[in-house]
Formats: sequence, structure tokens, C-alpha cells
Amino acid sequence: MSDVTQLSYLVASALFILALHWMNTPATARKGVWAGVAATTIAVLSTWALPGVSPHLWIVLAIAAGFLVGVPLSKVPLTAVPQRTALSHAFGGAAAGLVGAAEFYLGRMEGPQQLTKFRMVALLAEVLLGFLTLTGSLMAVGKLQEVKWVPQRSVTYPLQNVANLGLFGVVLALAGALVVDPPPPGRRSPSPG
Amino acid sequence: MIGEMWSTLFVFVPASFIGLGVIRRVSRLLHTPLMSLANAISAIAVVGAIIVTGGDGPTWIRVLGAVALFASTTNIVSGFLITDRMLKMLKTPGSGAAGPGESKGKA
Repeated sequence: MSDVTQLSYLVASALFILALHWMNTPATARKGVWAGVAATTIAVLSTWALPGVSPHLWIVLAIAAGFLVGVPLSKVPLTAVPQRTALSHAFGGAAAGLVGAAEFYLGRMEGPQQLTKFRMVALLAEVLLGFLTLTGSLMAVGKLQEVKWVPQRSVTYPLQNVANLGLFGVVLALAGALVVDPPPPGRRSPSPG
Repeated sequence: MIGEMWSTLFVFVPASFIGLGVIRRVSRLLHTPLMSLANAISAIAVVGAIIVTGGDGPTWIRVLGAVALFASTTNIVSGFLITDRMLKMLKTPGSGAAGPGESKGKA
């Protein structure tokens, strides 16, 4: 990563802090939004310009699709804002989980020195929390939107907490096993092996 | 690699304190827009998605990246637009700077 990229990331971080700071009072709040937009644009453009980032068509298509869905989502009636926020959390969780999974497989292909214990802990936290957010937020969207196949009453069954905690324990144990005993380097195969 | 872990933690810990400090005295009126702005800002994870999508990994990994890129872009676009929309509503003529129901809020 060049000095220019690092410098633009530094500027973007400062603008993000300012954006949150300007949200303190109504007088400066809209300036805060613009600082956030500027910071995101700077970070996206300087990442896009990195030498390792090549196939532009995919990126253009994904960003265009994001605009196509994002603009209508920002125009929902005020009564639907809670659902929109929940859906947005679901998208954010999905993005984090997918990037984490992709980084894991990429690191695995590049060799064992890539997946250090520290990186594995970070990746596992990202994937676990990301997909937990995805499914939980989708349930919230369904309930708030009163989708008919999502029951409004709370669904309970005997030993529910024990079952959930047990499942979470299994996930943590698997994560721990992946950190302690990282997988052997994979081949560059067309599908996850 | 040890260097990577420590430099990451040296960013993480001060950033946590800055985050707390910056939002601690937000006026009650702005809690919802702040949440929505923070949601849009968190979509900065888009940077990782761009690197994965544009990288030289196998196609199926780049597909994961592209889906993540789509999801984050959606959050960026709708997050900033809806925050601005909320803030515009705060300033509608008649209600003044403080909206209805804000009289009991302590700024």
C-alpha cells in the first residue's frame, strides 16, 4: 500500500471522527453527514485505485446494484424506518461475514504464514458476529414488517436457552479448534473443499 | 506478526475511547439520526469487499466479495440519504429547531 493510500485512509478516519462529532448538535448535524460521505468516497476511491485491484466490471456492477437498492430504501415512509434499519444491519452483518470468509480462504491459499492466530481470532469474530447479525436482523425485519410467515408471538420451546447456549458453545469450540490447529494450506480449487 | 497485532491494538483502544467521547453528549433529538449515520459509517467495511472483489482470487471468492460490496454499498447509499432526510425534517418550519415531544429532553 502506497503512502498516498495510507494518507487518504488517515484523512478518511479523521473525517469520520468529525462526522460523529458534528452530530452532537442540530446546527452542525448535516455537515456531519457530508463529512461521512466525503470520508467514504475518499476511502472507496483510494482502495479502488490500489494496484492489486483489477476487474473493474465486477466492482462497477456491485456498486451500481447497491445504488439501485439503496436509493429506494432511503425513501421508505417514516413508519417503515425501523425495518429499514434492521435490514441495513442485516446487510452490514452479511458483508462482514462474507468478507471474513473470503479472507480466510484467500489466506489459506497463500500459505500457513498468512493465517496467524491473531488473524484467525479476528476473522472468526468477524464471521461469527457477522452472520449472527444477519440472521437475527432478518428475523427482526420480518417481525417489524409483519411478514406473514414470521410469527408475531414469541416462539419458545422447552430448554430453549440451554439449546441456544449449547449451540453457541459448539460454535466457540469449533472456532477455538481452528485457532489452535489451523487448517493446512488449500489448493486454488474452484469450490471450497 | 507480533508487530501487526500490537499496531492493530494501538489503533483499536484509542479508537474506542474516541468513539465514546465523541458521542457521549449527543442531544436526545439526534439519537436516531446518529444511529443511522453510524450505520452508514460502519459500511466502510466496503474497503475489504473491494479488495476481495478486485483481487486475483478464484471466481467463487470474488463472488463473495461482490455480494458483500453490493450489501455495503446499499448501506452507504441508503444510510447517508436517510440520515440527511431525517435531519431535513428536524428543521421544518413551524416546529423550530426542536421537534414535537422534545420539550422534556435535557440537551
